[in-house]
Parts: sequence; C-alpha cells; structure tokens
Amino acid sequence: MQISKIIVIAVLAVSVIAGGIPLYMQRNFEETVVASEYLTDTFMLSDYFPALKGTVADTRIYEFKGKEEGGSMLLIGGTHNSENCAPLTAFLWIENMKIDKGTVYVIPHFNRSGSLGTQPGGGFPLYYHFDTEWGEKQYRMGDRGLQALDQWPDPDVYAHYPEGQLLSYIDARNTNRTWPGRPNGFLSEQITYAAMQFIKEEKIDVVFDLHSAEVMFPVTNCIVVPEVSKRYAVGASLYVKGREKFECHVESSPENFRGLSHREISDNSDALVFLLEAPSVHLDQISGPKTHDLLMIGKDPFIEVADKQGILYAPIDETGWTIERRVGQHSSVTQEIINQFNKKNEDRAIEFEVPKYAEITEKGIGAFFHDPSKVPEERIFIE
Amino acid sequence: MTFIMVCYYVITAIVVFFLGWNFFKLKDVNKMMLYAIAVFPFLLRLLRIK
Repeated sequence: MQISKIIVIAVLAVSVIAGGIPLYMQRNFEETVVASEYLTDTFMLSDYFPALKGTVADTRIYEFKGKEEGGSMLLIGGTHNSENCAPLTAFLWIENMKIDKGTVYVIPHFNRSGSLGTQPGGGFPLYYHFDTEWGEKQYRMGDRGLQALDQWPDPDVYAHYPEGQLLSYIDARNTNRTWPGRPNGFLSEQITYAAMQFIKEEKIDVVFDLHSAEVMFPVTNCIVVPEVSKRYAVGASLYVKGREKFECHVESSPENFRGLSHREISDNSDALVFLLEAPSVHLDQISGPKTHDLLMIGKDPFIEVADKQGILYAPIDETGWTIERRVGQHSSVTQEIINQFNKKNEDRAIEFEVPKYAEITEKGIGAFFHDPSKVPEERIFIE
Repeated sequence: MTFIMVCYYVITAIVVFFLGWNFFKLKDVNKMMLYAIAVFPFLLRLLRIK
C-alpha cells in the first residue's frame, strides 16, 4: 500500500477517534440527582405506554405527594434540552421540594434523546457546570429535538397528527410540535402520546412546560397560555412583577398552530397548561461564540449592540440573563400560577415550597444542589 | 429501531463500503483526502456517534 494512503487512513482514524470519543462520552454521561426527602416514588413514562420501555425515549417521572389530599401538577423540563434552564429548574425542584398538600410530578428530561447530544454544527459546549460547596455539579448540554441517531430519517415535510397541518421536516423530532402524539407514529409522537396518557390517567390539574427563547424572538420572557388558563397566568404575571420585581408577560396560544403543548394538552385533556419562556442569549443566532460563560452568564457584546438598537424583546442589563435569573423566573412564575390556581380551586389545592427568584439570584444556583455522598442511596438517581 | 431506520443504516454502510473501495484504487493524494473527508460523517453515523 502507498505510504500516502496509510497516512490518510491514519489521519481519518485519529479524527474519528478524537472527535468521536467526547461525543460518545457525552451521550453516556450520567447526571446525578439527589432527590429531596419528600420524594414519594419514581416511575417511568413507559408505565403509561409500554412501547417506550427499553428505548432511549423512556424517561423518569419523580413523584412528590403531600400528606394532605389535593390537586396534582406536572412540571416538564427538557422538552428542548438546548434551553438548559428548563431541565435545571426541574432538577432544582427535585432536589429541594417540600410538599404539604397535593401531588407534584417532575420530568427533568422529557425529550431524553435530545439531552444526549448538542446541535450538530452549533458549537455548544458538551456540558455545563457550576460550583457548589461540596464540588462541581455537571450536566449534559442538549439539543432542541431528538438526536437523529434515535429518530432517522426525517420526513420531507412533517404532517402533524391528527390535524394534518404541514410543518417543517425538522419538527418531526421536536416534542413541542408532536402533541398530542400517537402510539404508532414517530418516536417523538410516542413520547407525547405517553405523556398525554399520563396526564389523563393521573387526572393532572396543571401542566407546566418549561422553555427558553432568544431575546430577539417576540415570544420570550412570557407565559404562553390557551384561553382557559389565561386568568391564572395574568394573575401570576402581575404578582411576580409586584412582589418579585421582574417582568413576565402573557401570550395567547394560537388556535391554528398545531402540535404545541399549550394548545394540544389543553384541547385534549382537562388540564390547565402553561408554557413558560425565559430569555436565553445563547440561543440567539447573532450572539458570539457559544461558550460556557455565555450559557451561564448570558451576556454577549453583539446582543448588547442589538439592545442599544432597541430590537430586543427582553432587554438586557449589566447583570445579563444569567442562569440564576432564568431558573429563578421559572421557579417563581410556576409557584405563583399555583397560588392563583389554589385561590380558585380550594378543593384541588397544591401546597409546596421550592426556592424562588430572589433566593436563587442571591445565593447562586450551586447553593441548592446537594452532596450525593451525604444522603442515603435510595435518594440518588442517575439521569 | 424502525424498519426504515435500519434501511438507512444499511444504505450508509453501502456508501461507506464504496467510498472505501474507491479510496483503495486511488493514486492521487488530493482525491484520497477528499474521500476521507466525505466518508467522515457516514462513519460517525454508522458507529452511532453523531
């Protein structure tokens, strides 16, 4: 064999190994979760749709049941795993939940496949981390949709089920376009179908789907709601502005845009649904290198120029849209919506406590995550 | 894994095979490098890395 051929093969092999090993390690990286002592049970999404069992799409549901009977709520994080404040808020809740009444269910990686790799060509770090008193806490950075490794090929055009609305091919892997799902559809549709079964069988009263959006995108820093959820969202929006001093306006769920959680869960179940969007600078196309600092601090010189031009929908200040602000907003807004729900549904009230905006922004996110070496094994979970 | 997905993996394997087959018949270094670059994403998918 020619020496040049051997050299080219060697370079190719080194490139595949050097490039592939970090990606393989990220796909198999285990996130450690230390559940609060109020955890009552965990089960899998496949318990509500057995076809998911043993697939990459199966994901854990954490249950916190209060001593008193009450209503129930579901917190969904990780629909889009590139919007890292959403799964992080779910993890924060799992580790810090104190519940008295009703039941809270939390899914940190709703689209688990999406949490196993970043956007190809997006240049995102493979992990994000923060300091705690006992060491560094690290999580996988994910992608918006399912990995193409797990759902392939994409269709030329994605036809939503059951409405038949034609959407972008890429949305076939987007679990916020595949609600209410179907049992024999794409893996993404099976995930949302399983979740719909869960919502119906457990008679969930309130569903939160956590997200984040670009600061240059109109639907950011807001609560997206169907008509039936609006009065709760408006109340919560006013309260967080008055009490916690941050803005979070209300947007209406469009009736003719299908597949979205805030539209389909509401139309296909009795649950009140709320989709929360926190502003995330790292998602904006114009922001600079997608560094770890950008993910966590949320400041970028190009975004600051855009802010001076007045073209941002979520203005940026000297603090930046930090991970603490994003997680804090999600945590406070959800709790305030539950307060509003409790006022109008006393017999289905849900009473619990998790950290809020002021505490999270003051102490930093790392202050709320616990040392796995100091808790009983039954409270430790791997995601 | 669905049937159509298995088919796509088979197609990928066939593409990798023929790129490799042609590579070994080449004598021009520039074309060798071109083939190596072309086969890269197919290998990553076939190995279920990305």
